[in-house]
Amino acid sequence: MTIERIPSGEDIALVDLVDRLIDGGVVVSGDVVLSLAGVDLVYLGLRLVLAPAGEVTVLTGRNRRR
Amino acid sequence: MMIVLHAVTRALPDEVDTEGLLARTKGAVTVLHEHTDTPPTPAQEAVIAHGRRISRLAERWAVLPMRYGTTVESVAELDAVMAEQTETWQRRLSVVDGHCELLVHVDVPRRDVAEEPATTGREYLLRRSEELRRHDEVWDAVTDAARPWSRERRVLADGSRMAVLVARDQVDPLRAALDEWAAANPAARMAVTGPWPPFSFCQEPSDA
Repeated sequence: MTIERIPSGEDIALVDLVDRLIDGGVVVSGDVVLSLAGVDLVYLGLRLVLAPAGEVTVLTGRNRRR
Repeated sequence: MMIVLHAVTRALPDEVDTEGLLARTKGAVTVLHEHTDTPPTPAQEAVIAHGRRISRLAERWAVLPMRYGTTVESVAELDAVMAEQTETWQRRLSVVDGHCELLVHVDVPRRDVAEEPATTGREYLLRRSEELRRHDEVWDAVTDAARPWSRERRVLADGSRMAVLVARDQVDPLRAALDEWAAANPAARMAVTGPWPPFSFCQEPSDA
């Protein structure tokens, strides 16, 4: 189920925090892949499109950069 | 066992409160981390709790947050990463020291949805080109508004947000400048979140 609505300032802030944590930051190895399964952090302007069941899937590659 | 990496700071003295994290110091940098048998918890609540901890750390020191979920397999691997990255991290720590990040959302007005859809490929491409031009114009204007009070700026990949690295004592003047721009451009809706740790400024600009 997709919920589309104009978010409150707090909603936007929380999505920004989660988005920056999983898509920003220091990248140590290109093999660390994160996906926020089931949560579509898509910004359509200021309209957030969210889906339930947000889980972060951490996949670690075999070949780490040294 | 794996090692979850949380953040990079300048070398910390022993016995300093690190929010329950372990500190590995090599030369001029410290990596805050934890040992665990399981990967980072796959839940939004865990990500948000992690983010709040990073935010508390960033209020005390210059911090480069690690991308959430970054792990290494051993202390030896951690040491190898630190040896490789120390110079780069030192440069970025100097850049972000005393700074925080604001995220500027701008909803670029789209063409009138009541307008008839394009009937030819050429017409579609012309309209699309016009939309892209308008999009770039808006971001150029927002960038100009933010530039006097910010050290670095990066439009994020989604094209609807710009991350701004701003000195902590310049946050209010920057917000005022953005409010002024938004008031003068009511068709482009704007929202600003933060201040945040410098998530978007941990990599060199060429690597971002």
